[in-house]
Amino acid sequence: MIRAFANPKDLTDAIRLLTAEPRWRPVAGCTDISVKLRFDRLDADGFVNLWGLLPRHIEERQDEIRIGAGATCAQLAKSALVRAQLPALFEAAATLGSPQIRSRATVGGNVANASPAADLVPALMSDDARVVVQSANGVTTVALHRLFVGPQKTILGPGDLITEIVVPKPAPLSYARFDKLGFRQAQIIAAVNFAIRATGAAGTLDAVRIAWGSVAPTPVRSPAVEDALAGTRLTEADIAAAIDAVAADVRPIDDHRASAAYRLAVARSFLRRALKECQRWLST
Amino acid sequence: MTADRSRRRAAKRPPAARRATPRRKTHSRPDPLPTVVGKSPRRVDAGAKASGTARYTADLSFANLLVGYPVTSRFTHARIRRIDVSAARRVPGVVAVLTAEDVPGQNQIGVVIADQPLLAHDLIRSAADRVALIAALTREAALAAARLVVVEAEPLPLVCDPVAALEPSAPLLHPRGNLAAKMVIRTGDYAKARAKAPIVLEQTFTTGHQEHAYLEPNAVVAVPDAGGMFLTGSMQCPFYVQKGVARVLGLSHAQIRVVQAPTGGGFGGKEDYPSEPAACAAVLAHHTGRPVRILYNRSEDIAWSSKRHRTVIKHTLLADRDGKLVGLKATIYVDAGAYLGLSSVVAERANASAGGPYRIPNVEVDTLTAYTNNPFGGAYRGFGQPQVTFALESQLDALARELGADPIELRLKNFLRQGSRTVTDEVLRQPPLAARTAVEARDRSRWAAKRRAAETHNAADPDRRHGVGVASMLYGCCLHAGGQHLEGSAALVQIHPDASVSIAIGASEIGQGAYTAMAMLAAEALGFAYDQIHVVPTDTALVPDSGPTVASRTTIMSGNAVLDAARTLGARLRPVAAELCGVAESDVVLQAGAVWARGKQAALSIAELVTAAYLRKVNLAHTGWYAPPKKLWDKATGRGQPYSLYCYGTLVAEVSVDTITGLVTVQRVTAVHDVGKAIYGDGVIGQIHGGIVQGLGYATMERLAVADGKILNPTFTDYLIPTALDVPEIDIGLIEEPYERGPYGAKGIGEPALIPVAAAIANAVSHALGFPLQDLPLSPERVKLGWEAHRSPAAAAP
Repeated sequence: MIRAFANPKDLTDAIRLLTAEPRWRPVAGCTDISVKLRFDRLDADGFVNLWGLLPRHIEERQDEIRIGAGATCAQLAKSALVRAQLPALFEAAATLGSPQIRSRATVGGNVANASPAADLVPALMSDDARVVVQSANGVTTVALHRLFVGPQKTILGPGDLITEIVVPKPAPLSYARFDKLGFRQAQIIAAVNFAIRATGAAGTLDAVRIAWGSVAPTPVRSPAVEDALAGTRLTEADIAAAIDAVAADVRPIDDHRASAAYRLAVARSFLRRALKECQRWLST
Repeated sequence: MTADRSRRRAAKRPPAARRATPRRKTHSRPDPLPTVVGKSPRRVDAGAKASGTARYTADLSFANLLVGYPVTSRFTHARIRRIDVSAARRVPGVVAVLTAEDVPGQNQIGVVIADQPLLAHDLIRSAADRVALIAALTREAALAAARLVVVEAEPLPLVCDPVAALEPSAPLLHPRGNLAAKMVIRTGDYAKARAKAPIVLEQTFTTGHQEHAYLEPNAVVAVPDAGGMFLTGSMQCPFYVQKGVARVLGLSHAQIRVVQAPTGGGFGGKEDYPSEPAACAAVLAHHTGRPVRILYNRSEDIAWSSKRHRTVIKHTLLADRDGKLVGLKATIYVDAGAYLGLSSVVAERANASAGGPYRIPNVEVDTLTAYTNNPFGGAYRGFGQPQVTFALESQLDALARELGADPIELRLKNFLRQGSRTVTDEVLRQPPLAARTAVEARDRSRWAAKRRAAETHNAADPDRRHGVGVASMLYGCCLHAGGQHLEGSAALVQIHPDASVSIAIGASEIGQGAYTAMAMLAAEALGFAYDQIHVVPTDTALVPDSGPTVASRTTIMSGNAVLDAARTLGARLRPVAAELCGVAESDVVLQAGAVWARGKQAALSIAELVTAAYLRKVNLAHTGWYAPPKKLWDKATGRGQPYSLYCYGTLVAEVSVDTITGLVTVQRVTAVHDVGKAIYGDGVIGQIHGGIVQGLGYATMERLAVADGKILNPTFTDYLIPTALDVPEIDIGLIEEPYERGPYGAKGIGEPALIPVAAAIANAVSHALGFPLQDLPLSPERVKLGWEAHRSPAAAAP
């Protein structure tokens, strides 16, 4: 039962409140929280409003792209910088929810909510993003793929706030793609999310980062597939080996949205399409 | 999703091209052309609904109002040992907790047969069965009390499949067995035809449940009133509610008054179901002596209300080498759920419609309605027909593939013609227009070019494949002969002294535009201006029982009743006008809000005429009535005339299928319907658009997940319906051949708009993929796994 809605004056004040009241939850756009509230699936006593307090910048600084945790999906989908440098994130942000939801949903909220189906997270993971966490003890940085411990669970404690997402600037010549399996054209929770970033030259793949959503208890990186691909020339045999490795990296479940077999089949097809595209990119 | 977004275009819907209606010349007596009918004036309810001032049931206030809440149990099939409500009664704010013994009249509901207890007392047969009713000051108190109702029961084995339900070993849900109803057709000699037929196509089809997803969940208020009960709520059939409430209260029909509140959609879902919450509210109101309102939230509404019937259809189609159909055998299993509801009536339509608009001389259809512990099937736009249409139209495409024939040419070869016998052995007297709709749909859609383009595109083996499919339909409009006793319809038309007019009909406005069409018909027939006509909410105390608002019958039945009343009143006004204008009565016409004498506008206005009539004590109110002629039909053989009239339609669907995901995108639909005469132009177009979108949802994405009789996805987060981005480009062709008994020639359109949609989409998907699909919905999962099995059968084997 929610009994409090606090409007702190700044982030320090917010951290103080959240540390003192461990059953209060930080909220920003409220697009995830309001659904949980509606279906009585929220285990909390109060809200601490961060809307207007979190930074909302999207900017290039030296060899990094820094995104304020309060930046909305609508902002990401309008950003020329994101479109040019982080096309997977751009696509994920532009297709998330609906215009109404995109104008409220923040990148920090999408990450902190820790949904296995979070659309932005695989895109950010494929670009090796880190999150900046501010707490009463100061500021730390965590690799995004180390943040999640289970569905709706992160390593963050009460009073730990994500304030910024930092993405290393991708190599100038690289390949990226994002795919979402959703059962209609909008307003849809992903049944599989896929993001890839590959770099390479002279016909050889240098490094590949792949991340999945909705096929495991958390969004995950895909080490077996990445290893199978690194240093290869993306021959048909390499592609086949990578597709075979998908099953080692994902743990899809059967639920009322989709069966595990179907999720795996789509995951493999997403990968195949991306690698065929990447093959063409490598050879040019 | 990447490609999907980039491919989306701003779909500009072309304005519905309408066939030019042949305009008749007036003959000797003035027979003026319609001035309102066929146009698209502002809907009578547009202002209130658009501005938010329409007061829905949840907006109404009553003194001393209580919240009513029905309590279900965690059981799906069980024998009750004990129901303990003592703890629930002690919750602060709770005014009453009632169980079966507190029902003052019969503890039974059910519109066809009363096989359903209002409150379960010995057996629980479905997850939606109520065991108690709560009245409380707040919803929170009611919910807290509901959680404290203790039900001890012994679980019984579940029956979750309509085919298995009819096997001798199946546990019985009702003493008379699990076969709730059986309908048949026996025409010609199927066995003989089967023995000789050169082509025999056998397939088994399944179709899933569909949720109505109307905007407004169920809502009703019961108010004790002078020994009787007043009810208002969201509903399609106030007379059903009246009868259902009278039975549970043990009161006469006259003691129950039901007024329909503005209703946010029905689609069949509010045909019989609202009688359940209404009966619950009435029992609580009777017991507490206070008004009681029941408002379902969305999850409750999805979990407790009826669904489109799930079916299993075993289908055999016989044809000769020329593609002429010679026989049809179908066994249609209809999953009723735990109680009959309207299932036998739905089965009646499925049964009678199994042969579509085709000449098939040898027919054996068995439609078996089975009790199960699943969510219960009820009325849903199309009423059993989308399912059998999907099966038959899929079979026709299978035949076309077998013969290497064009699917539309194959249909044209087999359509019913003037004087043909239908599968129920009825000789068609009205012109069958199936071929006209098919030719028009073929030409409008550029069928042949589109089919060729899709095949060329697919030859390169792309990830995204294209397909073009067709489906045709014959829709028996209005009630089936089995229910023809309900068909009589009334309308009260009353001209007030200031020449404003109020009309009340026995049918209801559920968003389909019925009130607007009725106002237009009244204006036309009276010769008054459209904006002089006001439609009052449907009220059982104002108008005689007019049957249900279903079966696309309102425009014809209530419309004819309005015309009957308006013409009667016109006959009373004309002598007065003749006298005042000093001409013969036959020289007077009221039209377009003016009085015309000998072809010229008279100095006398309609308002002056009405005043004069009042001063002469002319009765300016009349209840009109219409009932169609009796239909002869034999239940034992299914032969005879099941329906008074037929509507025809053909749809062409163009799809793209993503073989990476299995996602089907419907890109364009061409819909051609025979509507008799479009009374309310925009309404007809709106119905067709809505039917296409709802049918698209049914065909591709709406999947009710049910396990052990329980619905796993009773929310719009998990039960997906189309959004605006899923709506295809739509092109509509209307064929307007007046129906001799329809008001100004009108037929119905509500259900035809949906019926062929899933079948056409399924055929388009089969065309895209190159193999038949037997199961609705064509969920991405089914399409993807089917495609992988089709491409590498060995790899896909488990």
